[in-house]
Amino acid sequence: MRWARIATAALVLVGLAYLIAPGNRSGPRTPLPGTAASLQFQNSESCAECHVEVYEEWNSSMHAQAWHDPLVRAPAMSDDFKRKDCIPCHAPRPVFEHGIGQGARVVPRNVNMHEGVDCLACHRMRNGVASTRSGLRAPCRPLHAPELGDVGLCAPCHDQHKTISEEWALTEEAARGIGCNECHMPLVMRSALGGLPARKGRSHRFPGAHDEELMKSAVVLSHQVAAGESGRELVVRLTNTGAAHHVPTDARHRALDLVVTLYDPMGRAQGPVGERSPGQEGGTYRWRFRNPYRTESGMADTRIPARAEVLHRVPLAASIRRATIEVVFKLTPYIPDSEGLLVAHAEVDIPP
Amino acid sequence: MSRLLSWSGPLALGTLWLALLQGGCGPEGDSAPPRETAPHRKSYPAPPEGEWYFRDLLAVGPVPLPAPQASGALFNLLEQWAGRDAIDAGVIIEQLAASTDEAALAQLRAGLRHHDASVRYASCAALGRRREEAVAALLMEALRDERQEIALLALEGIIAQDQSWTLPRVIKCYGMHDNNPHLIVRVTAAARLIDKGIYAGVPLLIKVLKENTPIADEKNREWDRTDRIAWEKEVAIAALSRLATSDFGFHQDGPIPQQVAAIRSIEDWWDRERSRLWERTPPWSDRQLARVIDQIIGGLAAFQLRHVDNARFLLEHLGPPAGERLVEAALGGSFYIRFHSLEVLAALAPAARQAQRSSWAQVLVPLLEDSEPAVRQQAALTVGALGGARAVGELLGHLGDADPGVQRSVALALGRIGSPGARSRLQEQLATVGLLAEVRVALLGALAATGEREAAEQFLAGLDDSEETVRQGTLDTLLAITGDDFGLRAAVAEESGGGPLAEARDRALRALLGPRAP
Repeated sequence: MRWARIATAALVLVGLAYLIAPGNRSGPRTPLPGTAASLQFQNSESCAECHVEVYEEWNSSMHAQAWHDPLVRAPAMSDDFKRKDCIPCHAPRPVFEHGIGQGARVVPRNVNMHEGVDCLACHRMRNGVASTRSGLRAPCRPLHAPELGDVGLCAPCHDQHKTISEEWALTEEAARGIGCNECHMPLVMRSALGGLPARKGRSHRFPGAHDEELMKSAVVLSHQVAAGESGRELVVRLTNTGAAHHVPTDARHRALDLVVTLYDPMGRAQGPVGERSPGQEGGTYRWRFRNPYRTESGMADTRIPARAEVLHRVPLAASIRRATIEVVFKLTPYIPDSEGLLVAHAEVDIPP
Repeated sequence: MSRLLSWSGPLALGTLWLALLQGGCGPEGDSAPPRETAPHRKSYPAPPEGEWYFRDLLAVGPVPLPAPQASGALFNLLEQWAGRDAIDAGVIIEQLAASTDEAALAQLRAGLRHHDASVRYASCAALGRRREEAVAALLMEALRDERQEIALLALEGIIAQDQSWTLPRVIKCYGMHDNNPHLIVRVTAAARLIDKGIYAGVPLLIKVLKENTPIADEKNREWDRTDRIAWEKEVAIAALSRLATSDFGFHQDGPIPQQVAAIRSIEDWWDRERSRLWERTPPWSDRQLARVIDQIIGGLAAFQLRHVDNARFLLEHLGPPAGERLVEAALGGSFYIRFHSLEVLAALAPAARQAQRSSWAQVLVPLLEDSEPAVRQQAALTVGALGGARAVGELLGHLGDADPGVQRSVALALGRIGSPGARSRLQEQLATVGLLAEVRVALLGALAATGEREAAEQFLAGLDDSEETVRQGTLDTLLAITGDDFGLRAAVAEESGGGPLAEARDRALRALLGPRAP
């Protein structure tokens, strides 16, 4: 009798425990107290209340423009996001939702899309907000997530056009454990906040292809006039000294053009050598470094790997007195040089 | 009583332990595994790493192929033909097709890759006359030949082989990405598939008929504009006429107004008849086709999003016959497969018959409780699209989901259904504090779609809101609920105001208050 009562009571209690478990409840979900969902941090603006500087940096970044950028919305690109495979990276759900690592990628969200790659995309975890530091206490419930500094956090989106992380993996920087953040989230000073002293933090401006200073630091241009096999020549060297991946990289519509223009004693530019395609009109000689679109069959990937040098020898006729060398970076390949970014430039006087 | 107390302690601890085991007390830890909705997981063929194109997957069938052999009697015969006019290749083609040499396929395969177009043409034509399983796989390599006459010949040859597993590859011919560069090949693929009960190419045929008329579809153009489209129109109207047993009075040399009227009739007929037509499709029993479809479903988990898009396109265009396998995948696949299978199932809803829709919706309801918010977000849209008015009760139960993305999906799904029975719950939810602006707009849109004029006017007033999020959210919600923006996006962007804007608003209002899909 006693065992029967114990068994009955146990069954009742087990049943109660089963009912308590949220996985077995039906009807609307109620956020559990203390979880991220209950904290109502639902967009980047809610982060701005405390992280003013970081928010401002992000707000000026291309991540914040990912949904509105006219280049992305152009008919030949996402066509106003009618090409649905563009949406997951331009308005992603949090990367941490499904974990990061081999084969992990993002799926599209359907709120706050205007915020593009928002704060939550990289920071929101199931039960809080990812932080590089441990032991923090704040209303957003920061959780220590060392993966925030991993290449794997950026790869779900930035490996979609081409595998940057594979390019990076072959570099010295990768061997030394230097990831994306070193260049694309440089250290900056943060103001004192909430009683805490001023400290260093990582910039959320994410300098990249739209950043003049960073682009200029990617390659080094050098030149010399030398005697070649069939006369004098201008030897032009372009070296990828600054990037721990190919230059250019990521989206296949990035292009880097090396343009050499030769001038006669009257200052007249010499006519172009070879056939020219749209976006490659000027200059006497020119070379393009680019990874072609997958529909551009028959074109080679000519980008410059990390630490690699490309060398071109330009024959100099006796009448040539001057040369200009320009290295122009273009966000899309078919625009004229004037709309690109001049990342390196040299004027060369050629002695008679 | 004292006895009861003596064992209540350990039992309470046990209960607490059980509750913790179930994740029932307090927040879930970071290491807590997500709750799985499905009792078991089905594994699908994993897409290979690195560069991986669907055309590679689909170019090779389940049949082992001989390596190309650029030597031998047949190949020599082919080479002799190099440089000659393809149209005169009849004699050599007869000889090539008649050969029973074991190495013949290998040599013809080498011929398909020859630099000379006349050799490729002759090889393709010869292969098309043979009837063996490997031929279809070989011809698929020629589908993307740069010469349209060769690609078209390959397509006709594949269709003549009648191999069910080649269906996805032929569908791919009229697809969006990595598709066939020749419009005539795409149109022919869509036309031939109609004869096999695959009707997803009908919109492409209608689009072709619109070319060079005032209603030409400029949005999301799938080919470069061209005046030379008579051949394509001929193939398109012939296929549509066979299917509908009427040419709708369409004559491409007829007066433009007559052409436009005929095309509008074809569109109406398609909207009316598509579910019934898909119903006529024979069920799939071919095991090789099933294997190819599982490979495509596996592609939904690919890392490269363009491959996911390709897989999604193929599955959508296979139509409702793919539904059962997709439901299985939505319930039992990995996270990515579940998420994207749900997307495809929602897209299949208009073509599926009522019984299929109801049955799929019912089975998918548990996904509204999935541990992954992204899955719940998509499940709401899919269950709503499939279940229609019958899903309203289930959807209403999830309006208060913890994830705002799910909240918005539920509201949009309810908006598409437009059930008056949802009014009070929607009003109640609208009164909730702390809703995201876009969620609030979607809720208001859903309320408007129940036929509440006041709510509809309030919803459209969002177009004038000072917050861009609200203005944009209103347009997005309108598009999601009604499938049209009634020209409002353009009118708002151009700040045209006055007449055009007022007219567009009026059309939107009428659409919101009008009848919704069942």
